[in-house]
Amino acid sequence: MNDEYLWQITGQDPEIAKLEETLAVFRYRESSPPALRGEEAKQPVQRGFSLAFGFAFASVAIIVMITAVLWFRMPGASGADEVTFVYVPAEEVQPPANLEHEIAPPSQPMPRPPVRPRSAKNYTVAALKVRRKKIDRSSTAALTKEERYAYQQLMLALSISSSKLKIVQNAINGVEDADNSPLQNNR
Amino acid sequence: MSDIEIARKMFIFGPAAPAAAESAGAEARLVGRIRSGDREAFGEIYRMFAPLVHGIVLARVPHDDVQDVVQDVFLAAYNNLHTLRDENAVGSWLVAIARNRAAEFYRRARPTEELTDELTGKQPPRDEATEILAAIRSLPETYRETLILRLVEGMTGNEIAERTGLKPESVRVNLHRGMELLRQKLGIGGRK
Repeated sequence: MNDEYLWQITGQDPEIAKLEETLAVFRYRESSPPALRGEEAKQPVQRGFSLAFGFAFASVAIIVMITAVLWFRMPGASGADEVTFVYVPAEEVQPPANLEHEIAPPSQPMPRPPVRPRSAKNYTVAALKVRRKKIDRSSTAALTKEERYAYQQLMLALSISSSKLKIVQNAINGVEDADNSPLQNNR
Repeated sequence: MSDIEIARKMFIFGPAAPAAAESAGAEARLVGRIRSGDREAFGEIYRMFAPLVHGIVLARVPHDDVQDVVQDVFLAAYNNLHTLRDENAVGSWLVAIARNRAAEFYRRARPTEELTDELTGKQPPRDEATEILAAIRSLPETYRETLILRLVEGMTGNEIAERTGLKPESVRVNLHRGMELLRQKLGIGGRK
């Protein structure tokens, strides 16, 4: 077999030449191109851009969802330092009954009456206390096994989606660069 | 630096490189003209690639139906020209469409069933050419297409590489191995 004849039809190879001659009946015979209908050829669409936009939108949506989930699941996120207003009724203070009848100075200093609160009521809101209730973070931060697994899966999905977006961006940049380069087709 | 010079420096294509770069540039220009509404350019693309598409289809579809499928391929190409991303790779794009259309030909043809030769009472035409073509079609796809483009359509190895987008080295290997397999099938010559 003459390889040169097989490759570029130079030289001689009677065997291959005979095959060519025999198979010539099947060879393409010039014909007119198909009749085109009225419409024009469509313009190319920027698939790269729409694809990138779709990926970017999906990635942002995923990130927002994951952030929201993590935010609401985070211990103390919805008010870690909870403020509770508590009414504490003041103790009723009775004036001493024999105060007006006491003439003799007391041999011992009298006990000072407790300071009456400003309010006229028996009990007032003077003792309104603001108590900061500390939430025990250590108890709520401890995730169950399933929750920890779900959290890891979410983080994994987030990293995968971001890496996909990166790949798409690189591909688009590559396509744009290739479009601008003089030689695009690496055959 | 011209496209041809760049091709010569970047790719070791041998003597085919300038022709490939010239052809690629011509393809891109024709595609641009078609997109701007020039139907004459479509005729030029047809004349340029019709033998290639004919060969690819002939490797799969009965000879009588090949011309219809070829026309179908070019119509589909025209209607889907907006999906062509690399204007310098029209050949490989057309090859892909031709393969799809040939597969579709069989999917569409499945419900109908031809009468067998026993029922029609006719003997099928089993001349030498048909037998050789049947032997080529029985080869693996890679060898089948390359051999038909070479032996039936009369394209050189470089032309096959240039039009299909294959590397010349791959075409050379496909031609050599395919030819050896064909010789074995036809029982001609001996292994060298």
